[in-house]
Amino acid sequence: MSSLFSVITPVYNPPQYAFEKCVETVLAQEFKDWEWCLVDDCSTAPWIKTRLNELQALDQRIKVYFRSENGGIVAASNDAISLASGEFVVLLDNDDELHLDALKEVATCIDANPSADYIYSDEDKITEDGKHFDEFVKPNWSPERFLSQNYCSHLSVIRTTLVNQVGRFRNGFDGAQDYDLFLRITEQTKNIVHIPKVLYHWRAVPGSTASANNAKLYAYSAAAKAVDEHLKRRRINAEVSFDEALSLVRVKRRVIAQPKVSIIIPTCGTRKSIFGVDTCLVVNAVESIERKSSYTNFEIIVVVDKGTPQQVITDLETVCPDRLKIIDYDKPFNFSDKCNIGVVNSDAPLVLMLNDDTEVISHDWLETMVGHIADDDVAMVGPLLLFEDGRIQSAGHSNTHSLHNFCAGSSNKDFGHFRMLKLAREVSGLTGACALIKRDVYFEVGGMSEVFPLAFNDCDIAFKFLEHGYRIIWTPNARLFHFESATRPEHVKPSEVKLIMSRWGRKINNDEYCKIH
Amino acid sequence: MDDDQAVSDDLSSSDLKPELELLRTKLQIAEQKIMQLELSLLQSRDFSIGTAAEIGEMRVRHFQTKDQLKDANVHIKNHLTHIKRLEEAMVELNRVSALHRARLAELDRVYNSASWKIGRFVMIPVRVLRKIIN
Repeated sequence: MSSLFSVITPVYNPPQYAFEKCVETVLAQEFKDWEWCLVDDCSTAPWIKTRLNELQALDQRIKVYFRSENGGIVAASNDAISLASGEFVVLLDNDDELHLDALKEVATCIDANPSADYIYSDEDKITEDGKHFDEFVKPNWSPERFLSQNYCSHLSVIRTTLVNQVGRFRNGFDGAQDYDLFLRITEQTKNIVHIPKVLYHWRAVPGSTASANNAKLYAYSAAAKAVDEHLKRRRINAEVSFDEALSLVRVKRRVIAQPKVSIIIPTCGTRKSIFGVDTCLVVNAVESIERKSSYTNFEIIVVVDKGTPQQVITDLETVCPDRLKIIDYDKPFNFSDKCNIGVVNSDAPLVLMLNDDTEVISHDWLETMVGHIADDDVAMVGPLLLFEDGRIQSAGHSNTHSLHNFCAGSSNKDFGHFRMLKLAREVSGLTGACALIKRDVYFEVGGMSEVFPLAFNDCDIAFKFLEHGYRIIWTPNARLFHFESATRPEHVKPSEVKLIMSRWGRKINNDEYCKIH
Repeated sequence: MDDDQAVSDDLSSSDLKPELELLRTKLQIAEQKIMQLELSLLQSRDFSIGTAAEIGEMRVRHFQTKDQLKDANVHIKNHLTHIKRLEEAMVELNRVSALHRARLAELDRVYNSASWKIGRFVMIPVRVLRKIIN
């Protein structure tokens, strides 16, 4: 009877102490239903052959194959897969360590998710003297983030039939061969499960990608190539490059046909000092959109409260003479209702909720967001919002511990946990200060809830999108200023907290995509 | 003939103008109505989705409460078992204690008996001699 797991390990001149630690952690696995497929890729260190033969004699679950010539990691890994008879392959490098419960945890996960095809876990790094550091707290399956970084990486466990179906590892992707394999796997299945536990310890030895990202720059070139081919297979028109400084793949989607965007701005004509100048917020926002946006197919719908000075309307018509709609609003303040009125006055397929206390920074902000929303299952896209002093105001929402703007107050230069402030990624919510939404999906979920007139309306609509199976994307590549608190009180009422908890309490402190505070 | 046609066009155009205005007004009213209906649709959908979310939340809390109840029952059961063990130990303790008391009473009875007292009296010289020797 075949094992549940086939651990796959290509071997090529590992440091002896690291290999022995690796062996220890496999042999000491709590879960016993495994086999270990080791393929030596013509190592030059003489101890390796002896040791591998010893291991094979030691435990009948260990299979060893010696290649007749050095073929590189792809060939060796594929030979190891050829030896595998288990239901799932477990990828393990010859100098890394498994957590002693790793296979047990994965087996438990498979029991709970019998249709799982690909399972990945959190990981950390381990020094030569066994000190653990750099714990990577990963999100649940995040396809957008996966385009920028191979965050799944270790530990990865994949259904063997699927690995064979996609053609195993491919030549030409050395250094990113696993990334290329995972990308092809994710094209075939949506049954991808994350185990939020550190089950893999990546040895940081000099020259390994764990210790120095620069040591394997060639790997990033292969990673960009893997992503490029993946996007081509998915028929996504995008420009792919890699950012050496951040060790990230950059994907810039090309927006060929510009769908119309209705930018909806609720306002009461508030004035505030911005950069030391007394400014009418909404006029400043509209002026910045007109002046800076390279995207051309948009209209601006301003929903104005009764009592807004006529001068504000006149100024708006001056800065935006051709594509401005003014909608009067004469009910008591309700941000959600104002947004809904803006949306029903729009005939565009995309609507963008925008606070009047914002100002465009990046000229390609709209096309960047429109590019992301083109995916069928994406409902909402938001940008990076900065305070007046350049610190981060919002990098998406986080529901860990409480509902809040992720990394609010951090420096714009911060990379965030594993560079999450520098890449487009799935989030559990976005601030309503700037959010691009598909109009039909907005209608599908009932728009902004009027029971939240002031606070949490953005959290609520985000939860509704998630509940309906949509993804929400945050991107740092579209940037705006958000001069927050100029138009709303800072504190939320207990009744609002009670209301949001009564609807979505189960989702709070249970963020799928941002498990760090 | 051309002049007649021009006059006729003017007439028809001026005749249609009020009708066109009327239609425009009706269209505007219809558009307003559509928007009102769309707003009502949004509200209705939000209400139903919000209610479903609240029910979902209640269900989660219900299951959490059930789990807590289950845990509490296990806890209570463990406590009851512990109490039962304590009670059994107590009964055993009482039994041993009663036995102990009975033996003490028996000892007292022996010490107070005439034969014990006579025996002690008879043995006095022996005890004195033992003290001298030691």
